[in-house]
Amino acid sequence: MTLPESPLGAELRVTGLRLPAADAFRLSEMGIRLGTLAHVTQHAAFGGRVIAVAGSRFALDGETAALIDVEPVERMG
Amino acid sequence: MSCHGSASAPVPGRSGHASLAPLPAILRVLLVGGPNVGKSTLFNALTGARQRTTNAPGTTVELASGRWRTTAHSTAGFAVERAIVDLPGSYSLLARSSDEQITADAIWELARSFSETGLQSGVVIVVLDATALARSLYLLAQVAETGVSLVVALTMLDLASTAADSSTSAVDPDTLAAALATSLGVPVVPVDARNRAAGGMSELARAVDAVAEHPRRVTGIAPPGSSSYCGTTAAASRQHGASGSDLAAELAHAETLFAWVEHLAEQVKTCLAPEDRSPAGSSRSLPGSLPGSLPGSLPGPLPGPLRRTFSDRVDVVLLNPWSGIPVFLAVVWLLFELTTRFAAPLQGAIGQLVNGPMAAGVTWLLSLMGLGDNWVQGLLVDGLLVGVGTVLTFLPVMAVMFTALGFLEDSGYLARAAFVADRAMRSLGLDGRALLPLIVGFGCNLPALAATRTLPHARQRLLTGLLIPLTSCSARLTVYVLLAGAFFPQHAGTVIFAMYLTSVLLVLGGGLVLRRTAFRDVRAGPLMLVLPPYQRPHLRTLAMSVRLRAPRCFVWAA
Repeated sequence: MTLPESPLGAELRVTGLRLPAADAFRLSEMGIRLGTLAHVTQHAAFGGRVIAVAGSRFALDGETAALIDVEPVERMG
Repeated sequence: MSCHGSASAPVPGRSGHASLAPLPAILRVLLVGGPNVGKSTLFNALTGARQRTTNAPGTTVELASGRWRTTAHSTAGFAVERAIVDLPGSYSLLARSSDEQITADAIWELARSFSETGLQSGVVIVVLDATALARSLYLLAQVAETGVSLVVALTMLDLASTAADSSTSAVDPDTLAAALATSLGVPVVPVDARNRAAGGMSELARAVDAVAEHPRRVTGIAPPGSSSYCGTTAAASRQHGASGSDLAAELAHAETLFAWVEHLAEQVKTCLAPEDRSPAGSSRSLPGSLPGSLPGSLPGPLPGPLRRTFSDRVDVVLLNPWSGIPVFLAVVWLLFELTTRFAAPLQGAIGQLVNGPMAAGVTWLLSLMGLGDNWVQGLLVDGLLVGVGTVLTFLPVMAVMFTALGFLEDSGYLARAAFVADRAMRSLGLDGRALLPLIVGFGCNLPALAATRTLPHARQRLLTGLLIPLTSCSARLTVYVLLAGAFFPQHAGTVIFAMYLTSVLLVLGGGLVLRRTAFRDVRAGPLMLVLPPYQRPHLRTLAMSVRLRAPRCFVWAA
């Protein structure tokens, strides 16, 4: 599923960055990489999302968020 | 490995310690860090009013530079004078804008200077955001790769405890700094630029001077020229968007830096293990922090559900799809009101003072000298004095605008405003932040032009600045009313509305034309914005911002 399809507050793992290579690279430099754990903290207008990654909050516009694939993190106990 | 070393005092003879380097008369200090890490606040605290803003050579990118003087002396016993430059905020040395290119070029120039001359001409202060160490450490690794001498300034420690979205919170600043210094092999100084008294400025000065005399390398980062070095030299002279193979090579190299960051984080966590915890009663413990606990801002898996911070709770309202836009419009309306109404009485008072008592006084003096009622009076009173008075009336508008913008910026809302307005500005290839100055332009063009300084990229600032004169400022309303009343007395209101509508269409049309001609390089890239935590605007920081910005814009106006 993509970020906009993810429920608010759920713990997620980034599984795909389908952005243009340079943009995906910049996201990686900013700390959003394959395998990164994230939470969606806020739904914004026009599909925008705010995600929490390692203590930081990132605002992503709707188009960008739709190109980020994530999967829910299952934790035992 | 011991984790109890001093954070700021390098110890000669340790690993990564290079030989004594000759020092120049004036030590050049470059301040480097990501956007919103408190870099400019630190710069203002270090330089006070001893600073000036100039354009980087051949560009429209503004650089603040100044003298950083302290009573501290080098270990050789002489005072070191430092010229410090506040480089544009950057996430990476692989530049994606002219602003970031300036930062990358300045660091590479310093590195080249040292490698070619052997003269230690400068030191880089890398500002690390304690709330986002992973991101900051990546930039630090890139800077370290260039071979420059560097010192780390650790900021945002007061916010670290609320920004971490983990079951643990921030750590005691001195303990964290010591752990980082041990792992990095370079001095790490916790600073609080908003509170100079407790801010670690002297410690930072001592660390910079010490590193200038005894250059040090960051542990685990290969210096230029070494066999394992495959750094970003090629990237330093160009921007992203090059060939795919270049990008692939850069990504491959970045992966090694990401791995270094992960490894460093593990080392720091080891240093912050329970047996190394600092005393719970440490005088520098942060409110709500757990001394010795692991900072959530370090990379690595963070288990468990999301812990909402204060900023998250505020954003539920301010970024909500339904309430976010109305709140943004209300903020813009307030900004408009402040610049057009609140400053008006001050403008009137200045105008009356200049045109009344001051003009009368000068006229009286001239008449005493026998120069009244002739061309000299016309030149000095009606020309020079009234002209200066008119320009002076802009000063309150500037001051009000910069106070308001400084408040929004310092509080953390400006980044949210950019997020909310982003969709509207995307068609023009502009950042969402450009909407604020454009709307303010409908109140008064001059503060709107000044407000473009909050935009992150020089080309965006230029494009926005070219569009602002197309906005219909309130001064033009007087002309509209006059003309509409004279030529269309039955439909004056409709005509005035049409004039404003025309102005909006001119902005949109002008923006589209400029984007397809002179500004083809300005593209509507994806919005990937770090939202700083909300914080209470600091009065001293606001006052400093207004004091430094308003006079420069006043000169523009003159």
